[in-house]
Amino acid sequence: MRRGHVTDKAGYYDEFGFYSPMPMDRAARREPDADFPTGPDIGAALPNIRLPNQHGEIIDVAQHRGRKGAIVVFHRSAYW
Amino acid sequence: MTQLVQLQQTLQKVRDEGYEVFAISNDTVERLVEFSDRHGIEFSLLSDEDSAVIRSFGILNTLVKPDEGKHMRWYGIPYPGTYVTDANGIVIDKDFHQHHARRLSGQALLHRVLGTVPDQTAEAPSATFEGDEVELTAYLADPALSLEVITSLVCRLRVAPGLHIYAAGAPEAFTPVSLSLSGEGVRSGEPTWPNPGVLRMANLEMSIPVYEQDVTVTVPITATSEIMRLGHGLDRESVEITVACRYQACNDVACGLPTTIETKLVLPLQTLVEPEGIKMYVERLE
Repeated sequence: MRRGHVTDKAGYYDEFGFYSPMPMDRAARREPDADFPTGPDIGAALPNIRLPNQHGEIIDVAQHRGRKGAIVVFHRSAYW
Repeated sequence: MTQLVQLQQTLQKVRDEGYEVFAISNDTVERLVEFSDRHGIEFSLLSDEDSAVIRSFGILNTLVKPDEGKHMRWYGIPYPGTYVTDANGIVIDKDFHQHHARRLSGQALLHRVLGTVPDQTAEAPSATFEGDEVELTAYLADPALSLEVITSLVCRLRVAPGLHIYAAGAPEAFTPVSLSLSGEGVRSGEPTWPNPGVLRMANLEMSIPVYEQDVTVTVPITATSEIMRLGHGLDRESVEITVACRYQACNDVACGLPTTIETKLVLPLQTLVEPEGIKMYVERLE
């Protein structure tokens, strides 16, 4: 990749001003309406999470929280 | 991707405060261990391969159709966001934004939860203007600015002994203190001001909101696609911003004229972790 290389092809900036070389018609570039669902509200109990981690160990979040709590991040991918 | 690397960078601080970090996606365990090994991730990257947990939270991205981006596993991704829970698993804060790339930095979220102002650290950029009436120091809460990741610029005003400056809500005759940030390729939000003190002027039968001594203000700040573009490397390593503070300082007997002071800071830009999938599109463009 050439350092400082910039492509200004129309359609690669979204309506939020965010640039990506991925074309706008790809699913990963669709952004939801402002009232998109954001899951449990403040004050609610976090649903159970019991899943394998990167080492294949089954992790139950409720049993591995810190002494004050947990930060639980939902992200799109560690691959793309 | 970059988010997970940044979380690793602040992991010790988050753990010291008593919180454990978990990241969840619909990536396979194989893809997670590959990423984890490459970037030295020490917290759990959880694999929700069939998106059962994502669905149970009600945050499945329904804009993706089942047949789209199969190799990338686009179908099954969540609307990205973060929850903070207490020790009993009750949600005490959450951070979701309409645009997938926008989020609070781990540091900014932690301080919002704790209700504290980030400390000035050796690796974070800072600058000071030493005025006679007001000294202005500004520093970044994180070591660098990142694309669409919202961190805080902390501004400390030190008002000289015996003086006060006016806060918002002061009568029209006085200029209330204000802060503004400018710089190419950065976006800033509304400053958060502490509660002011009250100056009682018995002869005028007035109570006026003022600040004395130390005033700490936080301003949300992020880098935009104007200067950081996915897939194209960085054409610069830093960005210069100007922090301007307008105030009017008075003592008990006399008032100065409204004054503007400013200081300039050079903020490093965080290198982006470029996703594999993006490289494919960059090659097509070139």
